[in-house]
Amino acid sequence: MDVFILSLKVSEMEKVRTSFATFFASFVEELFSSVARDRVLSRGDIRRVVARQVKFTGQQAFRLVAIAAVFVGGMTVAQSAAQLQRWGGSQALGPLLVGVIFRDLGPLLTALIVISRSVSAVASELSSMKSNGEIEMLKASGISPLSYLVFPRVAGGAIAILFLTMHFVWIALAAGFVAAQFFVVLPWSRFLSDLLGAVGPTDIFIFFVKTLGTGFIVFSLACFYGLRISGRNYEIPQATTQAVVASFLMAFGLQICLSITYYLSVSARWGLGGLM
Amino acid sequence: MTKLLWSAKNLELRARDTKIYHIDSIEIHAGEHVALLGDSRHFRRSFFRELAGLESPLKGELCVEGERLPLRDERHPWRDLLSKKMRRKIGVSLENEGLLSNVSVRESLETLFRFKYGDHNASLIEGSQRVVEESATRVGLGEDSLDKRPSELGRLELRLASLCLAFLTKPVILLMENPSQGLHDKGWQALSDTLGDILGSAQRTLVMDTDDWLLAKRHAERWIVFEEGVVIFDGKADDFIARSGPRLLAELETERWQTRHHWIDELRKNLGAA
Repeated sequence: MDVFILSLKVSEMEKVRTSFATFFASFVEELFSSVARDRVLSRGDIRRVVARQVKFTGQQAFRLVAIAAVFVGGMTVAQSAAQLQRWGGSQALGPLLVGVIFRDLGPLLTALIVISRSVSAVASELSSMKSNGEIEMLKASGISPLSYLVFPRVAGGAIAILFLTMHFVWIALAAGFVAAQFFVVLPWSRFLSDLLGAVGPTDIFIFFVKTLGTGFIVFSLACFYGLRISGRNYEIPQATTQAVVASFLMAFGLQICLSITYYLSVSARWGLGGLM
Repeated sequence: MTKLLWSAKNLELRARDTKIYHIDSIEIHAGEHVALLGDSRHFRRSFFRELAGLESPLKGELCVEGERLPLRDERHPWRDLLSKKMRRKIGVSLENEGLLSNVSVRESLETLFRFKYGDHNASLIEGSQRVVEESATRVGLGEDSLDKRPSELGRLELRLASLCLAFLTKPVILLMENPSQGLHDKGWQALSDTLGDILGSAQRTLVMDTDDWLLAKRHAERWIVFEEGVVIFDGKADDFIARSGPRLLAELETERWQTRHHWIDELRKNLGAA
């Protein structure tokens, strides 16, 4: 009997078993039970890791997000202002910026930046920990890796995405206002009142669902792929790539679904004019 | 009769249709010092991991203090198999120490202790510092080693740090996976002495998974020997030595790592004759 080959097959078998659906269901269940059982939120150590994750994902990515926001805000106005002015609709610039940046591009582009920077980092960090035996040590010590490692990363990541997207939006809107001065006469007070008039409670609700939901999903995926490896070093880059690709797909999927739902509900209520 | 800690019946591990590991019946009682022996890749480690609650059995029955462990359930890969109460009683030292690599050993141990035992408050922080220092003193891990990261430690220090982690909760049951793996003679001697101190000073249960027969001879009076996934011997170490021929003792002293297959052959012959 070739014991060595069989032992490899056993570990392969194990890897296949932990499918995404299995992990995710177990993860959500464990997350809720951990929060209750271990009183995770009241623990200073966990709060520190959450804060570190917010800093790493949010604060350190701020400059990159700001550059992207300036570019997107400026380009959106540059592309649309001239056309709107030709048709006499420059007053629609504010609502247009809200529609494009606040509802769609802001959450999506911020998510893409975070996925490229932090999801890959979390996936490789956790897979390295698995490969070093750190996950096993936690289990052997009676500490749930979901409470100790996954929860702070997911919570911190989701909070960071929310704040980063807020930064993206205000910087992009400010950049849009500055860019608009080159094309149309748009006083600040009017721009501001147009913006505030265009944002409704549904927009704010969708914004929170999009940012926190995307954060939760992409960081869960990062943790899932990071912890899924069977413990060999060569699996670390594979896990990182898989986490990034799956996160891109899920982020696009979630945001497209939410946008379609939103636009369908708004157009059903107000007609197409309600979109702006 | 001492308390029954583990009882295993008809445990099986299969890969596809091939049975690769099978245990008919094993019982381990409190206070026993047991060594799981045999060459690597003969599935003694699988059994050890099931005892430690790191893996659940695929088939069969494994009870820990009378409570049956659940069979492997793909829907709950993250659930701890052992109860919190049992986890407090057990200290596990793994072959791959797995100390948190991005912080010092001290920070790693203190953080894990705090996470396991309560909130982050001043008394617990102080308490965790004291517990870590006590545990380090107990296993002979120096102050300077505590302040280093795992990557800066030598093999013996890593083993001691792992033991220190296992000792944080002052466990009554100690599970050790390949404790002497990679140690040179001096380190081996130091570890063996530490183990002797630990086991001699309190009524502890020891289950050691190892291919180091000499360490097993020093610290375990009961040997469970695996070959190709089957238990070929379960009994007193002296009995194994007596039945495996006169050369065993001499060979243990000179080559502690390898199972000499003529021991096993001799043992089989003697068991057959009996």
